[in-house]
Amino acid sequence: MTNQETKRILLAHGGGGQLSDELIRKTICPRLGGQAEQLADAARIELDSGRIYFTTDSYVVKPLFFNGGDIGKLAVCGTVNDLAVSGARPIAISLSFIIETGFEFELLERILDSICLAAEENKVKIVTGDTKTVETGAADKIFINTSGIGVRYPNIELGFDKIAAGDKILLSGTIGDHGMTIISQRQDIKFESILKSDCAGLAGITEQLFENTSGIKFMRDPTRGGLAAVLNEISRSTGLGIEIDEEKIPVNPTVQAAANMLGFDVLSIANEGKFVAIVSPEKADEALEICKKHPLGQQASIIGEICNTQDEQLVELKTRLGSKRIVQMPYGRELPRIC
Amino acid sequence: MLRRISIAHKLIDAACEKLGRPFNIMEVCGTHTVAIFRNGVRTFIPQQMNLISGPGCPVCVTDQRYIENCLEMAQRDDCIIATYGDMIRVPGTTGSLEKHRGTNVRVVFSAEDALVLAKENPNKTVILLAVGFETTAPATAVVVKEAAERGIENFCVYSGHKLVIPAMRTLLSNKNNNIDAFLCPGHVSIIIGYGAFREIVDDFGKVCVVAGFEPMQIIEGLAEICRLLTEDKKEVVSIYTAVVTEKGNQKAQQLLSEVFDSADGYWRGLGKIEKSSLVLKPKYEQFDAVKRFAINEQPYKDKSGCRCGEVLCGLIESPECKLFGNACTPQEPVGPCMVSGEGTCAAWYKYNRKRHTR
Amino acid sequence: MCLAVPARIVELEGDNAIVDAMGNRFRAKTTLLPDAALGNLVLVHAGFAISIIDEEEAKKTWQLIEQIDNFLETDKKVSG
Repeated sequence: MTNQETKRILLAHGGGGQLSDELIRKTICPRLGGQAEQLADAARIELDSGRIYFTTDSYVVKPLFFNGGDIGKLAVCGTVNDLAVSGARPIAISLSFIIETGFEFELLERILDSICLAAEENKVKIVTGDTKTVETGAADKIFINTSGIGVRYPNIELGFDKIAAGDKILLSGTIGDHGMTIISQRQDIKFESILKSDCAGLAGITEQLFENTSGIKFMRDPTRGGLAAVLNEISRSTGLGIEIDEEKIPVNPTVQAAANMLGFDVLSIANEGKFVAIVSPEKADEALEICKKHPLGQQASIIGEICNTQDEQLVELKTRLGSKRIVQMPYGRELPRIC
Repeated sequence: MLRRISIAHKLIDAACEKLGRPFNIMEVCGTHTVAIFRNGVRTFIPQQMNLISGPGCPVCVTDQRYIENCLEMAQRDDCIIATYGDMIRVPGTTGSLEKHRGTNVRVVFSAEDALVLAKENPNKTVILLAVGFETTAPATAVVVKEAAERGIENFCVYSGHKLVIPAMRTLLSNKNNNIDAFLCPGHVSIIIGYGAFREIVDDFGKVCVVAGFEPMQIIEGLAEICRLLTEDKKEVVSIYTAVVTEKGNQKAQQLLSEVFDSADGYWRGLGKIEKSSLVLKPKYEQFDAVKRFAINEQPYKDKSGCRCGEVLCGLIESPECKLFGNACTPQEPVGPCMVSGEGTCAAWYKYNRKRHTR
Repeated sequence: MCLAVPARIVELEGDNAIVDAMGNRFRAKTTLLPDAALGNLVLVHAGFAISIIDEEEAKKTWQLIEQIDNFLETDKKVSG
């Protein structure tokens, strides 16, 4: 039995025998750039830097394909982003698949093509991987696990301990796009929309920042839990307060309308192509300009600043009315409001 | 917009000075409560103006018995519960509806979806948990009529619909008369018309202003209340002119009177209120879950310690309840005021409470 | 009393409508608005349109002034 006759993944494709071999050689590797090292048990990577950044993630997004991306693009970008916001240049990624028997080859090929494109755009290599298959029902179509390594940018040291009162908060673009796009395609809510995930790798824009300005003290990508979660984490870890201005937070009107319709708070919704950076006040404008020149940062904005607090660390939002209210750590599962 | 805010500010400040005494404004509607907190309105107004939250969260004022009944029905294999999102985490003695989510309990965004569920599941009875005020009740009326016309027999409604004006009357008569004015619910008013609040003005001498939910509407609504109070004008005014008329949505009102009768209802915190609940007319009996399942409607004794009732009447503020932020949090709520998206305690916790969890 | 969102009727057949809120399309019933017509801006609550929005009044009293302008832009995007 050869691949040409099989249109779906069989259990045997994970068995280590002929079918496995064909899957890797004829489907996976060619679509990922066809490098010989992908076939070895372990990748060999030559590095100059004395420090390595190392990250791991798993991707179980549903639906697999959505407006603006798919699980493959998400896997690469998510891993790249974890490295990029740590102050590292992403170098290499490992890729593991767990595939349910019956999964269509055509979908696997689309995912692989997405992975290849995302890797190219972010200048990372897929250097090693693994493929396992499980019986129908034992996994939801396909799960992806990644690990990624990166090397340090010279003179870039990011950390909570670097943050001080007076530092500015730079947000690279609109919030809520990814989460609302996924929600719009959930079976129970599904609605047609021009919503598009912001799924993107931040390797390029962070490279511009790290190479052209100093003063970046900390970065994080606001994925699950959104902007609210990141800001609360910063406040909690530094013991400092945060003040942000509602007027300065960029939100796509389509995202806002969808959130209003369904009762969600955009501050707590996931993003997959954005970062929050804490920048020293003297360098903030420069950092903002660099972001705006990059396609992924055109709606970047300085949304607020770090401040000293009297009693407890607080994240406070200045509303359009000029009044203030607290931004809480999201509960973990926003309850949609209707009535 | 800044100009309008500062005009509103000036009006409010001038009014407070002229009145020379503290005064109380109750926002009846849960959506107003949340909007007020989310926009930090309380930090914005002079000290003399007290904003009090009222019984305007339909989930919060639903008697515990209703929730217990829903949980019982959710455990039946021959039923599917269709509910709006708010009800799903309200705690009962056996947990909440969320436990059964995806199997016997489905979240719907429209009453129409419940009918669709009934068609797709001919072997089960779909029960729509019809909770809400006059804004939501017409939708229920529409689907009940549709079910009757199309002969959809495996569908019924457990009505928890309540009426706002009777509640305001009972509040003022029995529970809390220390209210100078009401910020009236904009969307209920779309249905019932702003003229409906005239009886509150005439019988109780309270100022009523109908406003929408955008921050400017709320600020301008409060400014309008101030103006009326200083000019000693007991009136109903609507500033939500884009959608609210004096007479309201006649078609919706007609459907409501076609499908529902008003009956005495039990409200958490307010007790029994005459003619404050909507029940299906005998003509539509077959779609009434109460009749179909012989539901026990005896009011429930409230959980000890939970002070949702007092919060709902504006008698205490959320932090005055000992359970607030300790035993009662959004993650582990004791009462519905903490779990409902429009609950006063939930809003307070999310937007106002300064201390981090434990 | 509850969440209601402005949206424009972009398809209408009987009392079944498709409404567009800034590029998001939802189904809504217009049973409560017998006079509703294609192109109307309506307020939608729990899947039902409950009021036609007077756009001139809305511009005066509603903060959604920007949103209404954006409607026009998004309408172009959606139909384009």
